[in-house]
Amino acid sequence: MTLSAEELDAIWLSIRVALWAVAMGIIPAVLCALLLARCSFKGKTLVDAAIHLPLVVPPVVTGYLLIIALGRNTVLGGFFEAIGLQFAFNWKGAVLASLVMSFPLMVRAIRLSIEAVDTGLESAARTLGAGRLKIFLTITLPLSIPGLITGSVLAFARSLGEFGATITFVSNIPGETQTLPLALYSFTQTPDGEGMAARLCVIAIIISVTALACSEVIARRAAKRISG
Amino acid sequence: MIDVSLKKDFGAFNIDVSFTSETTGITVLAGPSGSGKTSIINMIAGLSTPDSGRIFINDRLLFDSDSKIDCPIQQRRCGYIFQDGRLFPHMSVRRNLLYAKNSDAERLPEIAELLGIAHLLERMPGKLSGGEKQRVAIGRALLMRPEVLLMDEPLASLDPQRKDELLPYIARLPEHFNIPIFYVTHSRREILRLSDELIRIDKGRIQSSGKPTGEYLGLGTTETEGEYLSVFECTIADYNPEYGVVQADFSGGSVFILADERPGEKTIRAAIRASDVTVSLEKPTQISTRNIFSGKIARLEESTARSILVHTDAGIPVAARISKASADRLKLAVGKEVFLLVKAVSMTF
Repeated sequence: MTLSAEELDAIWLSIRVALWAVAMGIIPAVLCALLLARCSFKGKTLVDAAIHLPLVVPPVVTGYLLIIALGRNTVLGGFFEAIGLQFAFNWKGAVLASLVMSFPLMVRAIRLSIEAVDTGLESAARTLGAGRLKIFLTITLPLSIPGLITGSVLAFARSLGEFGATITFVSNIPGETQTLPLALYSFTQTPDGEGMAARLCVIAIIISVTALACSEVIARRAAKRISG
Repeated sequence: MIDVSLKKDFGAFNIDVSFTSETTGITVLAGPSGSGKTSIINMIAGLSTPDSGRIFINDRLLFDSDSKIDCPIQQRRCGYIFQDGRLFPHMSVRRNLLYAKNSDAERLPEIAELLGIAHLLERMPGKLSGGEKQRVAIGRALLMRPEVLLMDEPLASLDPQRKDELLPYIARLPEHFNIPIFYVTHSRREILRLSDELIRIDKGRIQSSGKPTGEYLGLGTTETEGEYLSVFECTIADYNPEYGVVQADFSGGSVFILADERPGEKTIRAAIRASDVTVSLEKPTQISTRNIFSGKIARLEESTARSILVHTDAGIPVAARISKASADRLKLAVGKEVFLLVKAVSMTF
């Protein structure tokens, strides 16, 4: 089975966008998860709700909000333009859309993992003279690695499937913003596109299942290392 | 030198204690569960904050509510050994031992040897037995060069065999490390084996403090007619491995106690429960009971509705709890010579 250039473009773009979304999201996700799992502060519910918002509102709404928030006239848009980042109608915008959509999943998985870390270990580390940063880096984070893996895989899969926010925010430009689901959608809209659509379908399934299998192996190894 | 006074209100009950300690040995904080003993060492370590009070350890003021001093946990240098060990599961024994920033790597071989964990250094905690885990936890706390060692029922989660295995290691700590140790327990056996000083706590108050010998109400409470104990020191004179009988000498004679093996120490503390003591006016012969002391009644104390405590001087103080009916029948009175009978199986150390 040979793939057309258009199909290959869509596949590689999708993988690249999903990997970037995970890479850009992971550190903020860990920080948010830590904040929600271990700190109590005023407005925590609000922060929690804001992070989870993309999970509950229609993706098209999220995409539209991104257009508004990152328009040239807004503070946020101006900031990104100043540092040379442009999202409109290019693949970076697709990364941003995927990141926003997959972020809550990542935060949830990592948060659960951090909450499962025995705070007793953290207080034991404190009696041994460790400060907060050392405790986070040597105890909390290493013991949350299974959650980091799960969260990353979930986010990767979610990004791979991202459609609504992406098409709303950066449109459907072949080679630039046309990720696998967008290409699939285009094929279904073209006469005689069913064959191509079916092939992309199979490929999407293969990529997702492979990612899941890899994460299983890595997570199992990590769990084994943690429990000795 | 340690000088502590603490107050904390928990709603259901409150803690109000103060004590000083000069010893570098083991001070046991003993009391029934829920009496506040763990809360006290948690406050010393900084894991919980007193409502008011002050904590002085070796001239360092760690907490003072008046001048609003509250030294952070990580700067207190209180080695804490938790009931459940709390080894870091993702680090080898060696990395656990050297976790503290200023840990004394040079002493690692010596301390590992002393605690019998030298052969475990490269293992992961998940592969250790409960007793081994606690020994690593003790080593980890000692290697941080603590000013005081706080131990919260370190044997509580172990089965009886492992307890016996760990006790000698803990008993050995004071001679090797010149630091005060506060040890929380409600086990009579651990008090007898380990304590140089005994602070008894009930309902958030100190009931008594001092040497763990003499007569005192054991760890029950007055309402539950706790075990009234007579504790005295004696030296091991002989051990009969066939019957498992230890002969130990004290100023007034010898006692016989059952033990599975010869005790490692030269001197032990033996304990007799008052309700295990029989009072006789004449010295019985042809009787199975091995421990027969002769003593003089020093004091008769009303104990419960139907029983009294007979305090006697038998070279060591021994108390017997007998029924009022028997006391009247024998016409017991202060100054009367009596014999006190204790079966070897009822003696503990």
